Amino acid sequence: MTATAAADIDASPPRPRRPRQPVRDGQFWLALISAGWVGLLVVLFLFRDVIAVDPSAVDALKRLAWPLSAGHWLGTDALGRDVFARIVYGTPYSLAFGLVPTAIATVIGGGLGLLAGYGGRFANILIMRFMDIFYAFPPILIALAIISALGSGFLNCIVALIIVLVPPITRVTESATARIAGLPFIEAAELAGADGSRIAAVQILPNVLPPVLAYVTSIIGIMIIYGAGLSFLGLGVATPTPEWGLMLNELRTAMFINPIVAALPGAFIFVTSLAFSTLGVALERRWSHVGR
Amino acid sequence: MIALEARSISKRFVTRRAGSPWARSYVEALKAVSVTIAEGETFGIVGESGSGKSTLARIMIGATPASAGDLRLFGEGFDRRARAHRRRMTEAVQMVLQDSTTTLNPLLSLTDAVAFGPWARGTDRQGARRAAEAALDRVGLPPAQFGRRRPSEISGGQRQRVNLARAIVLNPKVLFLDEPVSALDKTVQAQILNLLNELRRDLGLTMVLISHDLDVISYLCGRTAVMRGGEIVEEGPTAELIASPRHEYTRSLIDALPHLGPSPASPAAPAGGVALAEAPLLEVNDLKVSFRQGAAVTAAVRGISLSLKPREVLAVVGESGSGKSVTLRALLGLLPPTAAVAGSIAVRGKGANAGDTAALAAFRGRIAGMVFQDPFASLDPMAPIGRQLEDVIMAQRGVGRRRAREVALSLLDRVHLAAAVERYEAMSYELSGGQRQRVGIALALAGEPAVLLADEPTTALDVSVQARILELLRRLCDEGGIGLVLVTHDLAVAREMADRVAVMYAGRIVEEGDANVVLDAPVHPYSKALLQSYLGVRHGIVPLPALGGAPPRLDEEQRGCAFADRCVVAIERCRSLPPPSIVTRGRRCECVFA
Amino acid sequence: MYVILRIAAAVPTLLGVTLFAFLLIHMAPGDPLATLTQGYASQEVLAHLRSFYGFDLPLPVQYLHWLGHVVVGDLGESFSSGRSVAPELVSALNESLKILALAVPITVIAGWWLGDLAAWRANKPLGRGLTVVLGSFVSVPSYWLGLVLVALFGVILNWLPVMGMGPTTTWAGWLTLKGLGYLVLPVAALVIAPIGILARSTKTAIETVIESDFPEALRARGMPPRYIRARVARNALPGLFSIYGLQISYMFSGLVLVEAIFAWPGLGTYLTLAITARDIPSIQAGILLSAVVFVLLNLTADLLQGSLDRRTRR
Repeated sequence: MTATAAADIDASPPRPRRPRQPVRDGQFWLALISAGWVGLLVVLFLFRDVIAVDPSAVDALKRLAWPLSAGHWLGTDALGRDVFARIVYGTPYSLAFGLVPTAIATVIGGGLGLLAGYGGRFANILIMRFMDIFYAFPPILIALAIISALGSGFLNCIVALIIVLVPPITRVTESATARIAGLPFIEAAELAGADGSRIAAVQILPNVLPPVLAYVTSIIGIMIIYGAGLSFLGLGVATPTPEWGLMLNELRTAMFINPIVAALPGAFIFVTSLAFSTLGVALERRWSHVGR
Repeated sequence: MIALEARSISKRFVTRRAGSPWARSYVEALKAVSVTIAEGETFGIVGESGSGKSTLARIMIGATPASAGDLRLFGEGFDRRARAHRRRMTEAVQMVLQDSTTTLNPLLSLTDAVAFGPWARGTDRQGARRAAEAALDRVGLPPAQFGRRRPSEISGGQRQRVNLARAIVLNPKVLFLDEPVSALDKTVQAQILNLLNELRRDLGLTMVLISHDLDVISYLCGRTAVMRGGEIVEEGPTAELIASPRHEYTRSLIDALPHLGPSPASPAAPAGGVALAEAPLLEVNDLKVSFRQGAAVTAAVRGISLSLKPREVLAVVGESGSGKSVTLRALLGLLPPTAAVAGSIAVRGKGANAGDTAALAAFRGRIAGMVFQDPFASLDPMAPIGRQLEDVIMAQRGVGRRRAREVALSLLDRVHLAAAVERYEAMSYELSGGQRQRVGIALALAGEPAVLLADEPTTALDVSVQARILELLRRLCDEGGIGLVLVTHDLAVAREMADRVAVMYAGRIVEEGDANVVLDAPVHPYSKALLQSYLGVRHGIVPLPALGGAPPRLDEEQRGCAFADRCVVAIERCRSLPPPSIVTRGRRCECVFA
Repeated sequence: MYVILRIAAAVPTLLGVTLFAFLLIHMAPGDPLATLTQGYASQEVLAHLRSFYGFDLPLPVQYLHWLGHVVVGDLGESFSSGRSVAPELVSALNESLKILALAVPITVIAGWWLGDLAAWRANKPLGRGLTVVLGSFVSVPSYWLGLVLVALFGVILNWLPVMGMGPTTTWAGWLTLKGLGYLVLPVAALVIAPIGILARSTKTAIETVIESDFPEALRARGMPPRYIRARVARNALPGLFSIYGLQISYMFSGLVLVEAIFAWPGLGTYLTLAITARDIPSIQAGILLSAVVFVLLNLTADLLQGSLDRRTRR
């Protein structure tokens, strides 16, 4: 290093790196509560044998009991089955509806989006036009169509939801990829002679992940609602499986007698979905600070 | 040995005409251009935007295919469809892109960013890191200090160094540089140009420099080609080109460069005092602006005072971070609510507390009009320009639309917008940069203000257009009795336009006075350094006296002189006590040594 | 010119839609005729039926036959009821429209108004609170909300009718106050989630424009706040058309569920029943109709965007 270069050293201190003071504002606490709720659900499920009775135990004498009545924290349904137990046993279905299709569709859609965004014009046209066909349908229509082809059932619902999610995730990934691919540092990497897959893996993918993951986490809550909705319509799990959407349907007619119990499963759907959405917003806020 | 040779390169881009998918029109970006670059030389390509220089560069490095013509690399033909050829090219030739906030991957540390190239080429991780660290060291960023930083934590000049490191770590023989210093402050430009010089010498590089700035090209390049409209209009040894240009376009480029010599246009200051016959149009007293963000308080403007007389042009000169733009916005109360403003502002005698946005709102447009830096962004994209003008005129003058239209047309005439009637219904994106800026100026004049506040009005424009806009502003001042506060980072612009100059640094005016006095013989060490970073059109590789370091952080308390850390003549007192304000011979300076 | 292009681009999508609707059934496992015959038919009858319905022909031929019928308006006969599909479908659509005619305008107006409000007061308590509330709207399951509203206003408070259509069986009845009473709950259940989504998108779009450079320039020129608000809105508008169009189409999802709750004999109920019964012609027709409406809606949104923002026409 010559003398001149030494004198040239930009001896300035690091530019303000926002001190990682986690912002503890209202949104943070909401996110914490949301995480707590989900954790609670999981814990309750794990200990279901200990804390809940048999969800299929029919008790003709104690039908549509009110919450907090003897031995039934959340009351009983039209067949006398304990609602609390059914809710606890039904947790995995709703969580699965939220997480499983999302995770699988992210892998599929993310991969396709990356390919479409950086893999050349042919790949782009092929993939995106194909996805456009799906955009011609409202999501529920696609789900209904898949169900009508495959038949109803929990697994088929999951498949339907995956198919519903892949086009939007592909689109979001493709647009993020295309945007990143147009930035100068990608051009610089290409000029260095690096080959496409390396650039995609090391330079593009990490930059595409934040917006995609932000989108994906916001979807989880919606999928919970959709999945339960399909069950509500009778297209998902079959009776007597304790699934929240199905329970809502079963308890519908009971509304005139015991509106609180009738609305309970839906309340759980709402709150759980809200919890995931809140978590999603908080995560998105945190991730959008990366790489600023 | 010929390093790179381009023979009869043509490039056409297909564009679709709006509204008709069948009619295709072509843009001839390059028309049978031939260039020969000898090994070891430094070649310059100068031209304005649209001249095709960047396209030519990209074709020559094999990044873009040419429509016709061929390329030879070290004597052998180059076909970019052949992988082996592409590899030869990337091994021999590298390009450094123009600096921007996205020239580096925001998620990678600097070392990783530089190491990516060698790693992608097959070097193992360890070896790549070591090569990267050596390269960072070479460009003046010791890896111990900088290696782990992210791009968001370094300045523009440092970023450009990283760009350089990323290129040289691959050991190229030829280095292309696309506008290497255009986005940087003048003082930083000097640093980078010195570095380029060194690298060229130490690494034996063949360099090709592409720039719109003839000053930069003339500093480094032995031979230069001037491009316009896809063709090379003149080519030859740089010194000759500049001393006796043959083509008239070359001549116009040289003339359009703002010079730093004594300008014939600005009137020489009369010796001794000037009879203050006219009352000041604008008076600013002890303006202070600070921004609060959470717990941190950044003092952007730390107590400045200005005054402006009718027909006077005051240039406020400073680099990025000096607080000059904030000052302008404070005058009209345009700062966000997070800003704390103190001081007083008076226009035509009407005073107001600087923190009183409501009172300042009355100034907007009516008493002071603002001209913005980016002519595109300051116009409404969704309304025809005529209508935008009418709306402002109606709001400011309280007239009906018919009358407003007449006024609008006369304003467009006043700013010399050619074919104003035809352009009246045009949208902003249908106009050129210079035309948009003229519209911007017309909009600023709509309220018949006494003062014009111009924030870097020509920075975003081509060189040839800059001169005309500046001319227009000057004429508007003289004819309309308007005063102009011109904020700029470019000393040459100040020289061209200003009657008085105020030099800002870190929120304070460190030197101010008559333009001739301040610009010919600056006294403050910062002003001196600034002046010295100006190249002027000259040729010869002489190390530029560069100002090391960077401006201070403004969110920390400044006890002494803000410039002390970078000052060559600073003494102990400078760091502990604020500098005194000393007035000598038509100029005020804040330095112990004035 | 732009108009013709966009319409032309929609045609392949429409064709793709018909293809999808058609193929759907044939991708399904199981015998398409099962519903029709309920397992009571002999092999001969089955063979006869198969050739009658053309199930033994190659797929592309079947598709063209079907397409030919569709274009003329013949959508076949329902396997479940035996009646002609087309009139049933149209009447179902009619019923759905009674809800949508109220729900769509409310969604659009409320979505815009709330989004605009939240954007301009983003840093003040009103804006922040609004953003949170709107965010939670998105998570509300429409079917649950419907039930809760029914429980609250129908059962507990007894202010509004709980089920059925009341006077709204006719469009004349739709205009009456009593008819409105029957519409309030289904519409309310339907619009909450879309309003949340649209308001959020509107807020983001308007915020983006607020942060661009020209609003500051307008302020500097002394333009009044009302003018600036209007120009910002005008600039944000074109980009929002596609999402408004999309969300209106997505309301179909909510519609299916809301109809289920309120026993409203609209398109959603029609489709659900058809799927449960595996009534193939009805399913095909229902999906086709919904998708076509969807495509047309998006096309309209695109065209409107093009007319408002000349730049997208390139």
